[in-house]
Amino acid sequence: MRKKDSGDRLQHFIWKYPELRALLEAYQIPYVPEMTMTEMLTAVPDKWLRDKGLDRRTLVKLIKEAAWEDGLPGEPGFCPAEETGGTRQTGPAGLSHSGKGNDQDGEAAPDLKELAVREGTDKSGNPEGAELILKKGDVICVTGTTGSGKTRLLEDIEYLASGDTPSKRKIYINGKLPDQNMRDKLENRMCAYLAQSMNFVMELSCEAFIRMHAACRGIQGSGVLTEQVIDCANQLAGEAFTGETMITQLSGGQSRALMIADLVYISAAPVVLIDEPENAGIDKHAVIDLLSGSGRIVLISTHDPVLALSCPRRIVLKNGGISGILDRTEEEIELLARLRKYDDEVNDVRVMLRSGGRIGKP
Amino acid sequence: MKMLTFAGAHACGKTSVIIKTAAILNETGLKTGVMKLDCIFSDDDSLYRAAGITNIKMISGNVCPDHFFAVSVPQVFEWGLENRLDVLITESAGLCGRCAPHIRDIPAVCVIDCLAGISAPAKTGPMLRYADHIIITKADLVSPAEREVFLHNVRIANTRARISLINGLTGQGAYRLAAYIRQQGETEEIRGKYLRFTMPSAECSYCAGQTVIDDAPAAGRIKYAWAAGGGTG
Repeated sequence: MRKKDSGDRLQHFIWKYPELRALLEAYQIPYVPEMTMTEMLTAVPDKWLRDKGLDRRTLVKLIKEAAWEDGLPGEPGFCPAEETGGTRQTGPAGLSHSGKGNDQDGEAAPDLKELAVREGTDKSGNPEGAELILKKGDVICVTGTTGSGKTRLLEDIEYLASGDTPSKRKIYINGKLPDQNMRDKLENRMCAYLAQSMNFVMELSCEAFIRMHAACRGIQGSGVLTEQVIDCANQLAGEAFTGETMITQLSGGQSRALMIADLVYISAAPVVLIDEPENAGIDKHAVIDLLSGSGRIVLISTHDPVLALSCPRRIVLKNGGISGILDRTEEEIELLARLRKYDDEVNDVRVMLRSGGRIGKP
Repeated sequence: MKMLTFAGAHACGKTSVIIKTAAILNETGLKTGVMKLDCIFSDDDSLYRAAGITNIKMISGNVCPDHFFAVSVPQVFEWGLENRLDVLITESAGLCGRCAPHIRDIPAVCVIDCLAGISAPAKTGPMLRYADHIIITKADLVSPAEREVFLHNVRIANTRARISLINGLTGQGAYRLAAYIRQQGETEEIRGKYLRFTMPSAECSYCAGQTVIDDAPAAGRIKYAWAAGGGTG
């Protein structure tokens, strides 16, 4: 038997690969840090594994995935030769859980410069009125009556439609139709979608919540980041909250503000889709300003005229298809300035009423 | 006939996902049929009937549903052939989460919903861990951050499977699952295939109908939370 050096010990791997520790803890695998990996694996009784719904081969596989760079270290010959190579398991690339601090999204998302929506049809099968080309940094608003196909458009983008949805739309990434390989990489990590009916289902403080999200994204040293996210959210929402506030206690506006701040600071998705953010009473101008500077492609579906005019371009949907893509005119910019004044006035009254104020004598 | 096993906890949206997907498959000329296995009660057969999907309902009742599944599945397979199905889907509820109805060489799908909490992927056990395709439902009801953490945890529990988000109510995302099913090969014979994971090992007098709670050991093969000496066993 080979002499053990400190590099063979479990301790070393657990320090190097936090995922490995998480794995061992999740399945309550008993271990002593001074053991080698092989000793640990041979010491676990079969019965113990079956109780956890595992078998030894699966455990070995999971460990290799958690600490894949080293394969299975320790004494050679533990695993069949073909399994000990440093090759990654199948599955979408970039989904590694190695200890390098990477995450499931960061590496996989290619630099998205341009996204195009082409070859779509409306509900009657007629070709869409315009081709949609979105560039990095664009903030575009999606308008249209209820049932006009706003959500369908957001869905097609989210799912990287390739002519296989009712709209027959095809989504081109950087000028190319993504092949299966790229589609697998992008699936589930292209778009961050902030729906109208969003809830928090966890019972955590805001700080713990942000830290957890940052940790799952492999972001280290999230203390400063947490403060940034909360500060940013407080600028968007009416009433301030702190890191100690439980997320379930947040008002509708505060929750959405927190999620928008989180999208900007923590999420890596190159495309952000937001469904009707005006309903929650958050600062529309601040939202647009924040998102414009975030280097993403942002699509905001809205019925609010101020929000719609705040974006330099807007997509108009009719009968399930894109009927036009309009650039904001000079007159609209002037109108927007007027509408914003009204909007601010309404806002001032809201703040005043909320704080118990009244106008005139009773 | 293509065959798939669908598994997932109670009320996670299996039936909705299957109905939406089957509608797409039926449209493209693939006749899809469903075997629904439940423990005590199920009215999903009426949902399937309303959606015009060939289906058969089975209630395992007094017998462990996973054992029931394993012994019935060859007949279900025959039923599928007799009904000239192109796609046969077996749907069974999660039950205790210790087992999985997944069979080697037959595509396995696991449905899990976001509202089940972020530790659910680790708790769900073999039916998630041994699945080829994992469907996440109710994703629109939680915050994007929680969705991402949930996805991450699913990925830790099963690094190999493809993951899709499907909205069972609107059918958003079902196209991908339908495409996945279309790509699957035909299953010619089910006899002689193996389950992907073993059944639990308990077999005792409670299995045979004992109900009394007593210190006296149940006859048979069973594990105690505390062994006779007081230590864990």
